[in-house]
Amino acid sequence: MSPTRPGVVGVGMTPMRTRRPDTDLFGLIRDASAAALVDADVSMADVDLVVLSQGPDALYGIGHPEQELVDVLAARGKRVVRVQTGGATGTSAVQMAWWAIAAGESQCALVVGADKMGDSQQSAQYVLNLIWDPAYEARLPLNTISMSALQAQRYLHRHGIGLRRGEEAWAQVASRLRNNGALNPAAQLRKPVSPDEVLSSPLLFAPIRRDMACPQTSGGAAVVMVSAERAATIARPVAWIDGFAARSNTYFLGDKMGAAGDNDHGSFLELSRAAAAAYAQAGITDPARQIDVAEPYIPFATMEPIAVEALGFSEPGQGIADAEKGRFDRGGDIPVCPSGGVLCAAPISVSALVRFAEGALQVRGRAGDHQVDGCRTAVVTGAGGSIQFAGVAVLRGEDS
Amino acid sequence: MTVVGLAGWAVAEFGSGPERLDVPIGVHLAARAAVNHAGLSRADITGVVLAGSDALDGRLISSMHLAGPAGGYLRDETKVVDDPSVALASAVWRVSSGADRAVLVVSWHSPAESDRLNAVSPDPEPVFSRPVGAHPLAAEALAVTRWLHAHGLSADRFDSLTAFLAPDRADDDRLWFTPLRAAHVAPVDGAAVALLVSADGARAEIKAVDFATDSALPLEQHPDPVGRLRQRMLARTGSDPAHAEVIETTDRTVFRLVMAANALGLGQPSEVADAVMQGGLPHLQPSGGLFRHNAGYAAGLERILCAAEAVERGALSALAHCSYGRAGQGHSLTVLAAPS
Repeated sequence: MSPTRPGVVGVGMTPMRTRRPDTDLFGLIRDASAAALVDADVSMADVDLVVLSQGPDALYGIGHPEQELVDVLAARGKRVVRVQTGGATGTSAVQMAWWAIAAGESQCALVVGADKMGDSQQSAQYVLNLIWDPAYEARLPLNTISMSALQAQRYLHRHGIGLRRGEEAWAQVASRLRNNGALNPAAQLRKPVSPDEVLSSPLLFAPIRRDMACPQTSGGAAVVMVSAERAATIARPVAWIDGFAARSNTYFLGDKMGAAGDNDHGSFLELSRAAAAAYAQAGITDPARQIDVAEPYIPFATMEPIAVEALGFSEPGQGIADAEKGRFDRGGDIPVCPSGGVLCAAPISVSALVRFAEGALQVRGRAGDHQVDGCRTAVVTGAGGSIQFAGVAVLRGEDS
Repeated sequence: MTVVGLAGWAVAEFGSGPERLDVPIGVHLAARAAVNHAGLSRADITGVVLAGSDALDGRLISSMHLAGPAGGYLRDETKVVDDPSVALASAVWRVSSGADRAVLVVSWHSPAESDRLNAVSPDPEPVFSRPVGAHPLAAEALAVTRWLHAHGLSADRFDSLTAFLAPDRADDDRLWFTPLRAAHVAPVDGAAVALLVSADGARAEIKAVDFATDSALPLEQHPDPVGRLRQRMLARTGSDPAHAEVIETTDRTVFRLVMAANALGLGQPSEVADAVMQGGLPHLQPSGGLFRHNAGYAAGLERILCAAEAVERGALSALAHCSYGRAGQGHSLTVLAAPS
């Protein structure tokens, strides 16, 4: 084994809640960090790199929070890096630590962040309305919901799937994920919902209904990553990161419509490209058979069929049919988001970091009530921008 | 370990008036020129690291509209916020780990997009810093005051150096925050800067790169953060980065030039100031520094570019020092050398 093989030895998460008036952003960062350091049995003195996973400043109302982080975490004199790639920030932050460890530049890295979207004076959706280009795309009334609704409609159109079947399938997906979240004590939405309840919830932007969409969340998350050389000195289970890649797509939705070919708005080209690269690094040749658990970044139930196709679990256009067969249920071929996923908690700065943390918990056998028995290999993803940024990591347990 | 170097670089000016370029076009021109400078095409680029401040850009997620123009379309792209010299360090990690072969590092600052008082650092967070008035300029002024006090100096000791560095602005005695006057601060020209970090075809080899961040509170900062970073680099590489033939630094203020030179062992503050004016330190800031051209937020990357140009002109080694964040809380050192 290479001494610079990166692995995860500590995971920490605060409970995800709509609001956290009892603490500030840095309190959430501190709580998540402390939990991860305790889980890894290391202290800040061992940490030589801190990567801050913080998305858009406006979501939590603090400009350049990385400037404050040093004193919050007692990290004076250490290397501190903040990354910001929108919703994909969490994956990008982990990837930064992964590069540093693989290069032999870090032995022990803390990746941490938090969000307080639910506490925002303006709604998170108001803030996210501002990410679009004001000149070319403002007339589309885009926000993250309408952008995703257009994707869902486009997906159905591409594959000749009727709207009623699509709506029923998405309701099943939402219900499954919410049922999964009921088993996760960190999840924000823990009340199960039935498919009928999903279909009767208010329409946000056709075809997306409220219960198919993620909530606004306040919470923090952290992981401790070490080199194999350092991991050998720590008596903790390790989640090895054997593949990691990201891809960036075009900003303009107009570029992904019409004769866009594979780069269609109804697909996840950036995700499939990132997955292919990460799988190649990890030696994954048949993801549907070799991966035990998936934690894809799915802020809307409508995205699951597209994501499972991009990740190679389903053939193109078969994501809905495979979901109907139960392939992505907790007891199915590839359980998808046994934690409940982003649909049950969406602190944007760390939503992707939570996916990574959940994957690490699964392969370390520490996911508690939502543990999938026998999980050895997990794939996790992050996504951000205008369905634009995607990151994919492959995690393996110690005896894999 | 893979040898990592700079294979190409470029600066694109945004210009002014009706001909002024918008940010995506400037970023694209810089990225494309850096790739051309390396004799490569976009197909050779495996990764992109953007370095930008959303606060300065006035955007919520500035990488959304800049990833593509920077060459990131369907590439492994990320964005660093702290400083472009930190982004460069991450690109070095990517190439030296074997994850990438060629990574573009692209940074920008268009002064038309931001408040010109942000010449030192972006605005601070609103809750904890605002009650003590810690606007970036106020924090910088506190750091300068502390440094002057530690060396038993008064600010007017550097009036001559100010006149030397900014002869056309030396009389601009508007007080921004004691002791900082307008003439002390290098005005921001803005530019897009791109460097290509590669395992192949290096014009300048990257021998070492390191960075460290200190407290955002000026009075809590380490008294000699650059010295501490020098020692760390010395311990890791066996050579003192300050022994480079050429030194470039982010002199966002007159004081920062002297602070950096002093920390890098070039002399006591008064000696440094006199030596700069008398031409006694020709290897310090041969580019002219930020008072000649200030890329603003991207200035750290431009300093590394200037160090690389010094190596191409024949210097055996060159050091780029960058300070960043509030009150210069972060420092990076990048050591370049002629390709071996």
